[in-house]
Amino acid sequence: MKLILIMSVSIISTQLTRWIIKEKELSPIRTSTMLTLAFYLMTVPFEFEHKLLLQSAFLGATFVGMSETGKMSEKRLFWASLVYALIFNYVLPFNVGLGGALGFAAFTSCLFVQFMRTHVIKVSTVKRN
Amino acid sequence: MNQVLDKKLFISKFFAFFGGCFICCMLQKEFGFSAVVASASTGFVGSFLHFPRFYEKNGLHSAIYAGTFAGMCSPQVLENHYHVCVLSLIGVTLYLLSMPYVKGIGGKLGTISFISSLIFFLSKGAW
Repeated sequence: MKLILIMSVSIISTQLTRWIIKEKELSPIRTSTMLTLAFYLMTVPFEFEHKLLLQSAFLGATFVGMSETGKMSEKRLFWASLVYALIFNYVLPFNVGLGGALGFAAFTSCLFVQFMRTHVIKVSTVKRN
Repeated sequence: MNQVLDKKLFISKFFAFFGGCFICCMLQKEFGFSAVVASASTGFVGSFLHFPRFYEKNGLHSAIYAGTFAGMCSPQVLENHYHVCVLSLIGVTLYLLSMPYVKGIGGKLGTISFISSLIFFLSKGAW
């Protein structure tokens, strides 16, 4: 359940960030921070188990959405946000209190998707043909 | 490398990074903000600050935002203002060195902050 929640929040956050940057032409930093604060304010009145975790997941996922349109298409962003959610859920709990771990997770997931797309998937398509 | 040696750029980025990091830390320690809210609110306010064109073009806002990520370190890692200062020095050097590389991939600023926090954390043990 926790992973599904993190995945959903990541996908929404990533796509929303990309949409605002692209359509409303706001700066990526302002979009990321504004959406995170909006999400925080939306969750303030409610009390649930993974509240703080979801707020962190949301902030980190906005970094995935901050990728340039030319580098990451919407489809790649979708996969990157899923990879990000997995890293967030399984790797980040081992962080010893260092800052920037969310950004690192976002960066790793974007690079992973880019690598898979340009090397692994491309190679398998060429072999099949 | 020339950019790192550009004193004007280095000093301005250092103050931006330090400011972001320091305010983020202060919001957490003194006002009890969560790390996420402290970082987002510092970055949000920072994105509205206006600087001369030279600084705007060289991304002072991103240096502030990168600083807020470094400021998300736990109080056990960043114990005092000197620690914030040293972390900012490491962070801004890495930031300037990495400027020409991997452009347009999300999370780059966070990665810079993470690596600088890691270097700081490991070197802190050696002091």
